[in-house]
Amino acid sequence: MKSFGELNHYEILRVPPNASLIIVKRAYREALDVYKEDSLVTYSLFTKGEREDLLHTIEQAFLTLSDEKKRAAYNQMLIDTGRVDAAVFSTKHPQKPVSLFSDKNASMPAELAEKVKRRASDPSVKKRIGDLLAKEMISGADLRGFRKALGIEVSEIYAGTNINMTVIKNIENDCYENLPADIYLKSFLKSYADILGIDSHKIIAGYLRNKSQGMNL
Amino acid sequence: MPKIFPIGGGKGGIGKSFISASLGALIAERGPKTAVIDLDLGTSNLHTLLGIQNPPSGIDGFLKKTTSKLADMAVPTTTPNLFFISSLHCSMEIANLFYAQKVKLIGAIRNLPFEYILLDLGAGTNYNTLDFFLTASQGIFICTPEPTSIENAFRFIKAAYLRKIKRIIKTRAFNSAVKHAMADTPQKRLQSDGIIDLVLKYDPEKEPVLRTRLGRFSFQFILNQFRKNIDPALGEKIETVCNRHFYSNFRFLGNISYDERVVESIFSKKLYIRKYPHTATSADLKKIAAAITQNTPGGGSGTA
Repeated sequence: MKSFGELNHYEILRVPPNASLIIVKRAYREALDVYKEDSLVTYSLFTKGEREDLLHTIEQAFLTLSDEKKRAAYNQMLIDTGRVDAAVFSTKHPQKPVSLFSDKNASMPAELAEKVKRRASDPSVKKRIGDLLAKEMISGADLRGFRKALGIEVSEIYAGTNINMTVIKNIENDCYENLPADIYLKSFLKSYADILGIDSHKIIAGYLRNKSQGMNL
Repeated sequence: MPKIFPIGGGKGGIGKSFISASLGALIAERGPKTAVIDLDLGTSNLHTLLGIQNPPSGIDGFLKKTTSKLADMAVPTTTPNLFFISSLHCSMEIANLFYAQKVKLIGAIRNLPFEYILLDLGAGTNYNTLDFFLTASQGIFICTPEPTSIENAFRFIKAAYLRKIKRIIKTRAFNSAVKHAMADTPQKRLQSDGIIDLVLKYDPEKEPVLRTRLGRFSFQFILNQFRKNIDPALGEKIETVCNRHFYSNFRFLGNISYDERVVESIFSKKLYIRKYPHTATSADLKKIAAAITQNTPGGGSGTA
């Protein structure tokens, strides 16, 4: 049987060199689970002496990596002896908490936002925005025309907003009977307007006005 | 050259023949011409699992020299593309195959005109079983997630591993001290790490040779009769531990769920995957058949 030989403490516990304490602890528990005496995986694989050696090595690895001072000294030793490149210790995993209620625009693919911005600065498109927002009633066809003027595909809207493509098409085709209840529709329209960078209040109001009139006819 | 997959595992009754028959049928279904050979000499019953009531002569004909070509002994099965070579009619003493016959048989198997060949091996770690297992560089061993079976599986691996090491040292120009130590008295038979230590001591420059030759050899394994209450990561754990502590490669092919109807299908002498094609167990078998046919490193033939 091959023992751990020249593996360093990180390799023995199978953790990356920048692993946090929690990960080191979990890895240690997992290693004990695999190498302990009555483990289903290894109980018949090693002799008593081999197992003691392996467990001792794992113990040493954990005691070093779980102690901040010892770990720093050990890292320095690894770097000094050239066994590990210093850069691997400095790269940290992103540990920012993710906001639950982050703005949809923030999670929108950056290139899509960039595209919308670029197109909206075009004078002809700017005029179109003005025309659209000045309208009392806004139909699905207006929205589609505007979307096309910006050069955005339905699939891109879907990717940015997670609104079902069928729903987007129904909105643009004024298929009122297939649209969801107003409360949902409003929120869809808001996302739709936000991703195209236009005033969502005016869009919602205009669209709903056009819709109620269409239904009454 | 066919891709040969010996299917072994130390313990009896863990599903070697069942898996050989099922994987054979599933691989053949995917297109390639496939053969399953019953090498469970003396206690063969692969034919029953394949639904063949009275298999004609097979390996016996080849060994008795009624035919010079083993390929003539392959009979078609109910599955298109799947052929079968039986050992049912071999003499009662066949389990103790002569060395020359074994070498001849292994040679003949390597030259069979099939794309895939599965060898259904018997239980135990006798030399015949081990040598058939070492025919290819990618033997599959089966175990069930029970202590007894895992214990026997490790014994089987260690035995195969030891035989492999001995064979490498015998066929290559290692230091005579190593060779001499290997032929030692039975009282102090060597374990595999003992041999590696010896090589390190007497023949250190040969150690990389041994290492690379062992590294080229790989074991694949399947956990059969997998029940829901068992640690789902067991297979991966075994894979990791073996890869760390042996010099060869280990690849976990997957779990096969336990199903009572397997026994029922054996009673009715029908292939389980035909009778119950849409069960979890059948899906597991299909996944493994796909893994075998899609990733077959090394072209199959081992090192003699």
